[in-house]
Amino acid sequence: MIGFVGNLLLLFALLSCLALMIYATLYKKNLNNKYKYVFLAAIAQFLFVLFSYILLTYGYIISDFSLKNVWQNSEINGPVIYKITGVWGNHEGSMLLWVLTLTAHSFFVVLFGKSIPRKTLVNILAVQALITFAFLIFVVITSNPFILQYPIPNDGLGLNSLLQDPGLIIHPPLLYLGYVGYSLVFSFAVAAMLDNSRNKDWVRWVEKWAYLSWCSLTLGIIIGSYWAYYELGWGGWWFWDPVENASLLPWLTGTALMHSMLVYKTTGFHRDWTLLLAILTFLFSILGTFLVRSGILTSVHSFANDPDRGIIILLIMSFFAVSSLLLFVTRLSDSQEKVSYNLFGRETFILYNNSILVLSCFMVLFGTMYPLILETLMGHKITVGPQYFNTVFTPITILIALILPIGQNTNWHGSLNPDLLKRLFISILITISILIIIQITLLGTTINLSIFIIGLGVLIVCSSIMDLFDITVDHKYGFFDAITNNIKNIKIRSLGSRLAHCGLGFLIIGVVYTSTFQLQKELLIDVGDEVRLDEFILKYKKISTSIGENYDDLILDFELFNDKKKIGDIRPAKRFFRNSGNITTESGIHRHYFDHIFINVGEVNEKNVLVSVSHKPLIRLIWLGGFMMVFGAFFSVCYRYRN
Amino acid sequence: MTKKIKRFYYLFFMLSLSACALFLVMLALEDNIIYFYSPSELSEISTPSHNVRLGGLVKEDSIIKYDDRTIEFMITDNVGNIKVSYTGILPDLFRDGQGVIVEGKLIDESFKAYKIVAKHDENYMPKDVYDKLRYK
Repeated sequence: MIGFVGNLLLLFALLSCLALMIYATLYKKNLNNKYKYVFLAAIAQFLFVLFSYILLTYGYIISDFSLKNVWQNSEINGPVIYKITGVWGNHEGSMLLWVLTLTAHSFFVVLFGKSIPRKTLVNILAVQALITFAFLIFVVITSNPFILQYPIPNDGLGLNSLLQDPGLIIHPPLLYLGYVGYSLVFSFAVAAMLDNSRNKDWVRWVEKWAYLSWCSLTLGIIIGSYWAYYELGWGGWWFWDPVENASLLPWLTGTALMHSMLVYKTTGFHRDWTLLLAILTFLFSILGTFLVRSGILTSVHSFANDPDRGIIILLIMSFFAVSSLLLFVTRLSDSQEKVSYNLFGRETFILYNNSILVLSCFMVLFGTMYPLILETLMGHKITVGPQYFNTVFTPITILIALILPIGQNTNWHGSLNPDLLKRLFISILITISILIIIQITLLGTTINLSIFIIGLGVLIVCSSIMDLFDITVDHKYGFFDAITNNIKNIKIRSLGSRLAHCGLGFLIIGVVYTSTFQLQKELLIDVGDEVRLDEFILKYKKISTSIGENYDDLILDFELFNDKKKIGDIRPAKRFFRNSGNITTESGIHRHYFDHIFINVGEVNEKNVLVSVSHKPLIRLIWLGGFMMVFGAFFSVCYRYRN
Repeated sequence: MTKKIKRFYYLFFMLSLSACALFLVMLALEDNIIYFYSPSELSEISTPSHNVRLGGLVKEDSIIKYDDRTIEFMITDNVGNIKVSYTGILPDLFRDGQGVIVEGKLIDESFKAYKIVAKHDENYMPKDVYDKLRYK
């Protein structure tokens, strides 16, 4: 029953997509005034997909194993929350979520796009419907979640044990919101090109979507990396895995797009460039989906190998790439337009920023696709090691960190002003003093590249904070008055972007500091043993078991001491899933200021336990920085929307 | 400045940027490509001195554990076998018959692994392993 209705709903959704495109064409030819039907079709396709999604979720909740998809990814005795999230924990369900997010975006445009001229709005919805149509066809043909099976089994195979975790509840939907959000930016850009208009309206309309998509993409990446950090149990948070890189590609171009939109909106420069970035970002989003879904590259994230899926997504991607880029080439700006850059204008620095971001994006792309290229051309099977990406990203980080503190201090079309120099000078002074403190506390380390990059991170943070205030210490007032005066006159307008930049600074500090100064030990221990880790002492107290909903835990109890004082308990565990017989590791983490004490359990036998313990200093700055970036961008869009 | 000169500068800027990028990429790629072999392929070629990846299935009943947390097992592609030794924590999904990729060096007929690439899914077969096994 569910299977039949589900298929029917998907068919209706396809039909309303078609109807939307037909009405949009009719409307364009001015045959009649059918725009209302376009809107109705947009709402209808959303509702049909939404209902089919709810239906699938319902199938999961009542464990309807006549659906093959439910049988493969759910079990009767599983927790309800993992039945619901299990819908997107597999290929078919997650593609349905993809399409749902797509249609939801069309729906939101209908709801909130009242200020957009009707003709443009119809174009936007038509492009969006074309994308939806392509992906719906993909879902129906290669990954239909409503395929029935007979005979009906008694119990399902259960959700992949690693995915039974709170991290998975929010990670994929956020990532998809980001990916798919860029489809809307793409549709707006294509509609603007179709109109062949020279005005900047489309950027004004789509800006908030671009920011919000960026926020959810970033949040998705951060949460994904945290999930990998504690659930996969290797203690690493980024592995330069093809699928991680796939999410980084649209992130890099999306970040460039945010900055480029700013330039286009304020100065009118970079029109073509902004359009190109909008197109590229969406294409990279599809490329990401292709890499994840085709399993074409060896990745820890691959869930299935099905060449058909890969080919269809590749076809979809090539279609949108070729058509949008062709359209782009025919709608380039006239070269007559006057563009003049000031050496110290903000537009110049954003140009640097964009060049670096896009360059790094293509370097990541190259490193990710190189194995594929080499295999096709030469037949060699290779992997590009993480060291490639680290080597490439070191100079890029240094460049960004050198440009950012100066760039954010400049004005549009500005020239070198003394205020900038004053602020920069103070930031550099603070940075150097902090570096000296680090140098003193970590006696024995020499100044090397890591310390230098950490210093640049500190510089970004300092200059971002400095930049919020007008450093006009007037000699008439006292020092204290000057400070309160400055705080009162804080530039709320730029608070969002400075917060985001500050976050980047923290991220850089966290990444470099942790990877340079972390201490890891792997050893066999027995109850009562003690492990020394930097200034901490870990005491292994006991081993116990506990029973969960569909699993049993084997818990190790540790006590953590710092200077003979107990500061906490750490309880890592091995989790045995009863139905599937799978084992996962639940790592134990103690947060000590910005540090993590991380324990991971290996093999447990009668005599002793193999554990890996590590002290990761300042690692929390990585996620703190990420959240600051998200919050900063979110604040910017809220502030601008309010005014 | 005339338009021609401007365009020249622009072109020059872009070209030099791309050249720098290309140089960087090549430099970074040079030492960081890891070749992938199946057990039968690896035993045929002369012992490589650099790190490689070896992929296949963990041979049934071949896992031996020692007290000093060293583990030895055989990786097979149903044609050739190679003995692998590894010290450290194993991925949770490591077991007999499981598809696996190890990274390390071949030293005197025995593969010394420093990394075992872990997987998300118990039914999942690494693509490289799948391809190699299919052509046997």
